Amino acid sequence: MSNMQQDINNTQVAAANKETKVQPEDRKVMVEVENLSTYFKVGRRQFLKAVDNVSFKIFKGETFGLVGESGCGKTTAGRTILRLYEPTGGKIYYDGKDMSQVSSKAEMKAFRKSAQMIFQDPYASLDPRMTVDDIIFEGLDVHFPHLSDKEKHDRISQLLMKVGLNSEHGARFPHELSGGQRQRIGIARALAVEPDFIVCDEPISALDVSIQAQIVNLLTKLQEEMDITYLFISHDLSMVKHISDRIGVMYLGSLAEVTTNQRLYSKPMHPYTQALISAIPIPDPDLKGSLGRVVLEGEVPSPINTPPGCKFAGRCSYCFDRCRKETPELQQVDEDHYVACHLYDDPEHLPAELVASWRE
Amino acid sequence: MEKQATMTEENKTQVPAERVLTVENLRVSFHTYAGEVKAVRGVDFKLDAGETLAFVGESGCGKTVTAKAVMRLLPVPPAEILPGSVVNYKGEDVLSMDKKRLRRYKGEDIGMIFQDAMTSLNPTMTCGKQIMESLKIHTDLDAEGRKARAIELLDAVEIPEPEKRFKQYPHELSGGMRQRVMIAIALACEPTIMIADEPTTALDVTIQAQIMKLLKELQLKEHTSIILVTHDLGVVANFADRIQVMYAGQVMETGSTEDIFKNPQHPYTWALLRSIPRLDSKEKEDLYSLGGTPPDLILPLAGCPFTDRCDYAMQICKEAMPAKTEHGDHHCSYCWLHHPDAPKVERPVGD
Repeated sequence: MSNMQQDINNTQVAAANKETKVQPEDRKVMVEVENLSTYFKVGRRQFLKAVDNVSFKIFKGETFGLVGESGCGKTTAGRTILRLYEPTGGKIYYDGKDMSQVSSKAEMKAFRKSAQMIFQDPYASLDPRMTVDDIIFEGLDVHFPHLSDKEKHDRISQLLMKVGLNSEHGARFPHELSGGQRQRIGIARALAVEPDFIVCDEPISALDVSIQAQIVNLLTKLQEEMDITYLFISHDLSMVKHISDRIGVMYLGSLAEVTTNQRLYSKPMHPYTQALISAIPIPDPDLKGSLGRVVLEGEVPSPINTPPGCKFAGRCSYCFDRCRKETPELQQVDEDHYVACHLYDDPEHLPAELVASWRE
Repeated sequence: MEKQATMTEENKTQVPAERVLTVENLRVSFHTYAGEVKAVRGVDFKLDAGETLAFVGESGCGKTVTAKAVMRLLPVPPAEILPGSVVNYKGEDVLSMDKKRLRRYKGEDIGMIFQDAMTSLNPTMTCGKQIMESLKIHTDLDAEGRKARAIELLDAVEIPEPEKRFKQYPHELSGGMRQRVMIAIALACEPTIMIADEPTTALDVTIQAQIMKLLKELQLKEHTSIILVTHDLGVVANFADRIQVMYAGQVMETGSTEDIFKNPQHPYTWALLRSIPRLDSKEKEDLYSLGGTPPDLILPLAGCPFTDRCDYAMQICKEAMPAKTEHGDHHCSYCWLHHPDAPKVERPVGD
């Protein structure tokens, strides 16, 4: 099977980034983003390109992880997909329908019911003046008007149970709950309207390790029970690798690499992915220094008026002339493996060090 | 600078492992309207020159309070370091230091790197001025000397264009740069001990790697002892010499990094080690998750504070605090499982 696919892939490598319809398997696409851009105006004729020409697909029932350093545009991408920010350009297909142009109220409402969000900071994203019941009630009230108040309250109790709380937590205010409990409320609120797709924006980064594991396991359990598709945004690569089926690595508004979670670790192709993986401290004293850590010099440059060429060129140790002139496109290099790097156009020029680090 | 370098060289050869800090039975309470919060309940540790000791635990386990108590930075009241606590810095009793001595102690003997550089730096002062502030108090350098030293420090923490950064305000710097300025301030008076309270928690992994590398280099150069407060076991594994696992204001287990990762003895350590996903794991398996939350420190705790969340809890655990069990050199834990009469359990992690 894989041989055949390999052949198909090889013939389509060149056309891969234009023809996003290449489908090795019959997976149903839930969300498809095509050349999505979100710019923010920051001054006269100055734009901050938070998301710049990004394309990827999320299949139904999977968890797609989006990782990158702060300021790389991962949150903006997530929010733009939900139309919480208006896209500057590009298309967002949700369940086959182009959502980037929809403006009618009814259609937006249906979209809002189907696609929900769990926010980063459980301290800031819950209204401190509302009880937990009221917070969850709001969504039910808008999307299930035919239910009686009693039915809604029954649902709230069920939801609270589902996320591992008691119905008595409903009467409490957010400040009376711990961080982990608050994040559970955030999850219950998103689940209340029975969504098919949830954008989880750093849902665990404000929590303790032991609580992080609780929340991640809860999210996985809910996904199995309710067949939800997740877009999981985080800067914690080890957690993203744990929860995701496929992962996209972002750098300064663009996707550097998209692949499955196993391949990302065993065969990181983009030099940035490689640096990112090697920067993660592994909780094992034996591995101290043995991984040949690449410590990246410098910091992420400003996303305002970025120079032409590859955005990572300034920090990349394999950078050559072409990288500074030409922006690399995301192209398929292997089954389920896309990378935006000029190094892969000519396999003979691949640096040996890079290849040596693959753990295949 | 050259003179300092030779001085530290001498230190290294003369005294290989001088004991710089001894803490015994440290107990700290906060008096609040709701009652007395016993945040730290009997913590012991020792710190040698040039060594890195890490405090690991969940938020609210008392690791920061312990570090601040050692530095006498806690606001009194509401905080109170209870009688019977011992904090000894090179033979000197820290808890009975007078105001004048304390002023020198904070800065010259112990420096602190705070967690969140944005809130710990003064937004209305330039970076240079903030570094010079402690030089003014602790050294007899004149204005020009202070400026030169401040720029030298900025250079030492690998900030590019130190002269330019000297004049900038914290908001003009990135998170990593701000953290470097914090380190420069802590380094200003060449402290014997540096307390780093979650120095990289707010930073990206790539910047975190840079900062940890810098701290390690500075430590080797100046032979500083570091107390690292963190919840990130990955950072600890790569950086610390010894680890103190804390829970609810008490020490659960202490040992070398090797001991804690390879031969952990306490169920809480096991739980911590199991709840982090490994990047090099092959299969997608469920993460071990510790149910429940840490105990409320206002309520009295009779037995082991971890009882409610422990998979191996027995009746005795609820009733009495377990005694210390030694597992070898400097490796000890507090758990009833090590009592001769306790059932033998198989350890889920380690070698």
